[in-house]
Amino acid sequence: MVRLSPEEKIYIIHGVEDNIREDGRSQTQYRPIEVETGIIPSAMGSARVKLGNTDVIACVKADTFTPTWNKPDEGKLQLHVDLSATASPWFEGRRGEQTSEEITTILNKAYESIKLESFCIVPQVKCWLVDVDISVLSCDGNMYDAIGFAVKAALATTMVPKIVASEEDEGEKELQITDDPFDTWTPNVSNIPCLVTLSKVGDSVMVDATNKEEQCSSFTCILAVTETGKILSTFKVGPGSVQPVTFSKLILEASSIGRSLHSELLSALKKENGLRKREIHGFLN
Amino acid sequence: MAGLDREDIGDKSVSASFRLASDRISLLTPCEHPELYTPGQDIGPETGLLRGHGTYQDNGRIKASVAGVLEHVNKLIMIRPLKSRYNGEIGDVVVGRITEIQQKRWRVDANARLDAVLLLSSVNLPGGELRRRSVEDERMMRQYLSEGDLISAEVQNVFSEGTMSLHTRNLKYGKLSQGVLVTVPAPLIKRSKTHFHTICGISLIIGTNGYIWLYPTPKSTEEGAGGFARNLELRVEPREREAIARMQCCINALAESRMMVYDTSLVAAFEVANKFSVKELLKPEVKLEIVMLTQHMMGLNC
Repeated sequence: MVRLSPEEKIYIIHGVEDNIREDGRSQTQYRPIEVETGIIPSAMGSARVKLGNTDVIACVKADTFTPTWNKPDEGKLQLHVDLSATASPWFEGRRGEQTSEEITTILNKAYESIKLESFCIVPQVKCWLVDVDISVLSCDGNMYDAIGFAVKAALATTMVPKIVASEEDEGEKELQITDDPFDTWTPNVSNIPCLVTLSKVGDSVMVDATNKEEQCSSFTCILAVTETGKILSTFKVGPGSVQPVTFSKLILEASSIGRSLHSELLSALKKENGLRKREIHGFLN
Repeated sequence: MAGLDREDIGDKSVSASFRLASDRISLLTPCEHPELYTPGQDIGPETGLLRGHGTYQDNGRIKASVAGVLEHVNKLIMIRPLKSRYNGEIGDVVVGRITEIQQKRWRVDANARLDAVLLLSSVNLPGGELRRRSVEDERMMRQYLSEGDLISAEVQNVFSEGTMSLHTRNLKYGKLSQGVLVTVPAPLIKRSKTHFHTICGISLIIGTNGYIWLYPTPKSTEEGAGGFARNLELRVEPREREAIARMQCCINALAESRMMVYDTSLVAAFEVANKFSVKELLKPEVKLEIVMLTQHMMGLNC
């Protein structure tokens, strides 16, 4: 990551405070976001999200598992992040592995509290274990938000052959994959959150910080917000601290931001779904 | 807590626009591709021809050593690379960032293959003292320029392995204060008489290496970009900020559409960008319009 000079930082900080950021955006303005789903034909679901110069791919793979006794009717969602060394020299080698492990842990924590009852096939017998592999191709700040969008978009367009439980045979259920290739299961994404990263710069709060702006922020927290604006989890990255009053304001703000992000994302996905013939651009350009 | 005390923060509207990849707007105008050579591709027999840059000789044949376009000048044959790092030339104005401090020299990232060096003996000392640099000066180096600082400089010398030696022995060069650095591919910068401009209400230094520095026009005339003084008290006015953001967008749009970046094209693009509000400048359709109208104004077709 390029180290900024103190003058550049001051310029960015004053810019955020004056509500004219370096690239002309306001404090609550995202960079243009581009979504595309179904980019990987061999995956059960996939999506690529470009947020400015941040570029993320999410790829879904579903498996089944026997649920544990304390959560007999809940599936599992597991995320794994891979940071490409092409995104930044920082992600090269061992250090990159450590960073991606760190981010994986944070993300799994963020998604942990979702109730995944819709991921259940037969209670106590079989549930869906959904793996989401995330690849960060390039990073220009606000990686978490992009990952959040990509995960949600990929899950929303996932299609898995349906598994049906056949007649009970001496108390045991038999599970079968349907023969009909069009009979598929798509996870219910209504409770999958969007991640909203808020950065505090000077006395102001902004969304969608670029790499440069992230260097100037004094406090960054990430909030997982559901479609109804509820906060699922919060976590903080990097150094810094805030007053409790400020934090509760951040939560309120994140809730309203999250709500509108959800509706925008869902309408984009709906629009894409409605396209009759779609050429897939993929991730090579 | 000026920003947070407002009551409306809970329902401040966020603006995020999701678009689909199928609606992607490309800023590159479709034009006929010239024939491209790939590294190792045969160009022709060596007899009667002169081998230029981007080629090598193999068994009496000339072959391409880079991916690019063939160029003929009488008997000289060369391949102009599609994409390249900055190749310094003596006298070029560059903008660079200090990456390391060594004995008697600073290492500068100048978008070239190798870091450039700025010798302690090739900077003007504060106050304009002329003397040999002592050990004291060496100890003071970090006070003058530290890691991460941006400078404008001139290429003094290019060594055989490709490293550049820079100098700032002129009052117009030196440490850069508040502003924005924009990076474009180095070959897109047009070399011109002057690389220091004050246009459209802001000042800019168009580094030949593809680093462009945008900064608010200094109030007093004598206080140029040079010198080593830090200026953290200055608060840039919103109007200048908007102009800088607008210019930054213009430069990025021009670079994305592979148009040459120099004062004329920038003024033209800025004029077009003036009719948009700063907040919509990042939108691809706005960028496309800026590019199209700029090309139209400059009478370019491709």
